[in-house]
Amino acid sequence: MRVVAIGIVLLSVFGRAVAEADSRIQVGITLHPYFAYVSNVVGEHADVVPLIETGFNPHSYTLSPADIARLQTMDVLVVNGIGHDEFALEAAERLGLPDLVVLNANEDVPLLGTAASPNPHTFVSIDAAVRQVYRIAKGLSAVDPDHAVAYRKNAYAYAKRLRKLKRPLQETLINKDISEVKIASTHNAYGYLLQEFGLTVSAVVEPAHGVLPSAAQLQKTIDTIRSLNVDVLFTELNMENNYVETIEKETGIRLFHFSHMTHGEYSRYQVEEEMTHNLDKLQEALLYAVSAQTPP
Amino acid sequence: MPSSSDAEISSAGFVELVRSRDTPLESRFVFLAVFCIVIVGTASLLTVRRSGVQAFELPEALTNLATQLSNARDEIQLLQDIDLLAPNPDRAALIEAELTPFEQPDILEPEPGCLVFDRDPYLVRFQQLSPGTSDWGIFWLDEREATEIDHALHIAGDGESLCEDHGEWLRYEVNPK
Repeated sequence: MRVVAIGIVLLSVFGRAVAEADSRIQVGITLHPYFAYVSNVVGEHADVVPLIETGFNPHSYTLSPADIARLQTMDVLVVNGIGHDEFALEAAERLGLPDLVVLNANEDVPLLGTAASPNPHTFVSIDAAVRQVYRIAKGLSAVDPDHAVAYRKNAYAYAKRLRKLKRPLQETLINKDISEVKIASTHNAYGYLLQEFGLTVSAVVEPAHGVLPSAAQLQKTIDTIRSLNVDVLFTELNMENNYVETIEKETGIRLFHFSHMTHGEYSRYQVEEEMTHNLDKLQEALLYAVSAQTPP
Repeated sequence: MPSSSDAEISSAGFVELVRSRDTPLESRFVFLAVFCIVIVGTASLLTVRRSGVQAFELPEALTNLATQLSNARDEIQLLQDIDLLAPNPDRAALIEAELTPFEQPDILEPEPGCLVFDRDPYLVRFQQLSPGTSDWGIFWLDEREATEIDHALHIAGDGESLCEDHGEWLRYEVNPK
């Protein structure tokens, strides 16, 4: 009799687990940082499904049949929506999936750039990342109201963790004058992050991401860097830019590498890990620039 | 020899006779058509420009602060929903709740539920829209008006006017809901 009772209890628990798994929403993402955002918001209550496999560059990507099959299983697709994942938006529109909710993470993010051409790199930042995390939590709460409270609480906990990453650099900069530090970057991906520390970019080298500057553009950049007395140049990790060395040689500028956070394995910890790297590099660069400006 | 009709058949084929001048009625129609095109074109341009500018009217120097305050607004709502923040929090309570934008030094609190950030040459106001609710608005003032108010503030020595709206503050809202 006892064996039967235990069996019934086990079956009931197993049945509930299967039902829970069946009812979990499938949340698709297009870019690495959104895997981390969504994973941290949903916790154990939903499955996070990357639309494209690792190892592909999402810039100007074309979906494969396997990607399209995955897209058709999703309840929600979380997108950057302002220029970094047009491939996904076009595919979703072309397929006409009536039950798919497309959640634009940048819907209420204050953007840099212009209305016609906003800067889409809101994920290379902390405050704009938090803004997106809250947008995602709200959007998913509407789709899956049973877990709305958990999504909001998880979003808040994640936001606090992300913000905490800034503390060491903020404390380092308390007594430093960085108002005269001049910065250049290879492409315009770091504006949101730099702005959080009161910094702006004086010169951008690449006309667009991955598009090499022409000889004339390169010369113009070198002239700009010289005339503005730019201290540091931020360039992208995992990307070979031979022309950057030419700039370094011609101007004596110091190079520092930032992560663009769109490479490698999908991981819920990726944003925290790679943002820590970026903030370490930013600290190193600013301390270098301040010391270079201080007369001996 | 011009005929009374505008066209005639000759041995060379169909000939259209064109008058050297339009009739007054035709001239009026042409003028009216051009006028309408100019009016409709101008109105369309203004409409397109306005809709494009809406999200980007905020100066870039304020983008990050607007982001931080938008995040703070969500957090105030959450913390009040779970009873971790009072319904009418002052700046000290917001700092206590670890809402980082309010730790910055350049903030005035002229009255309860109204915090003003001095971001020379701009002023940004974060204000509770109705007491007891978690509904906060973000407003900003442009350089010229900010300078005038700043000047008036120094003379009056009173910050209360910063929390009053005389139509000069612009409300920042990308997506209110």
